[in-house]
Amino acid sequence: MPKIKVDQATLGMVLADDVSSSTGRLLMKAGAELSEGFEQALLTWGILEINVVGEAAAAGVRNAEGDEALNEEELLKVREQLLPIFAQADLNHPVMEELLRLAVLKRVQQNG
Amino acid sequence: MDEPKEPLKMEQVIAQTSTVCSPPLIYQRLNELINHPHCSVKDISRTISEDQGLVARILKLVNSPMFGCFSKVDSIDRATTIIGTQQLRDLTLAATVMQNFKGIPETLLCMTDFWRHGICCGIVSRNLAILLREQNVEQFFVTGMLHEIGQLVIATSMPNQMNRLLSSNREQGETYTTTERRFLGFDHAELGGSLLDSWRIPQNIAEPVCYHHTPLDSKLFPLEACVIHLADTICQAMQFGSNGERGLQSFKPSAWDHLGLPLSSLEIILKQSIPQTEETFSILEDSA
Repeated sequence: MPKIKVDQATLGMVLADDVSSSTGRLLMKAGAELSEGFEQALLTWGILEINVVGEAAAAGVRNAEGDEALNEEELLKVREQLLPIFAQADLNHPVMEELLRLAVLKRVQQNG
Repeated sequence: MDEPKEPLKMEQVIAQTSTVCSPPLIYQRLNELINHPHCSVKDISRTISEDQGLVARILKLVNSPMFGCFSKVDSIDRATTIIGTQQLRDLTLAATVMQNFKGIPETLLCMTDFWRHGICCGIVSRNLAILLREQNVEQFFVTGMLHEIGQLVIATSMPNQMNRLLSSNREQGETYTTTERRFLGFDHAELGGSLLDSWRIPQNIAEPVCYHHTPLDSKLFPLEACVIHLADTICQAMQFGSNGERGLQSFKPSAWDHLGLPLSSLEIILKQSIPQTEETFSILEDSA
């Protein structure tokens, strides 16, 4: 059963497994079709990944992802731009390191 | 205008401010109602309905992506049933407090950036609270939103001093709270906490505001304070609005350890929070 990221799923895909929130509340049942607004709803509940039916559909998503692989050079450039914000932060701390990585990703996606 | 030679004590500043900025009246009335044993949902919705602007903002909030409700919530009665009375009271505070601070010069504080930072911090705090399985997540939203309120008090009651404070802070390269303590003898976190105290806002909101830079000093609500501290750090790192502080120098690793979250949760929190910020901001901006 292929697992894909919620933001890469598309309308009409069918869930292979039940989706539950972190507290165990059932949100969507296996077999349900993704309809309008699913991405927002799932992210609001903290769901990042879902299992969908069909190898082909998920493989297609994964290939597309490979094509859009982020440009290393671009990432480094943005990282340099953002470093001043983190100038006084201890980048050896995993939280700061992760926040810098996420800030770079967000900026690159905004630019793109 | 001459500043008094002797720096003002924190209590004096609060007393001065309270005459200008009173606590939102409707919040106080709701608080009294909720603490009354015979209070019903009808009483609450009747009180909120006296302010139709407030009704509209609350309904927009409850129907916004932040809540992720599947069906439309079209009345305060229904909102109370779905999200709970205390939660609704806390949202009311969030939806009314912005109109209390007006006329602060842009050179001291850009109000749009200030509230954007507050609201983003509120949303991130709320999502952290959901992840931590806390009960009243709206309390985290309003605490996050208000955590820098002390800065508004300083900007309102001693604009001249704040000007000097800002330029000194730029020159010295120390943390903003250090400069504040040197100039005023207290910092905006303590001041914000005291203001909320004087407004009789419950301790579960006032104390985390007071300790948002030193979360583990909070005696009653260290978890809440750690959540606000982390959310503040995240919002600074992602440049969601601005809180007047520079750099991320005040991050306390001990606060992160206290929450015991996995590192991967940061990405989840951001993915949840970013789509919620714009709409929430535009709804609450209406009240300013």
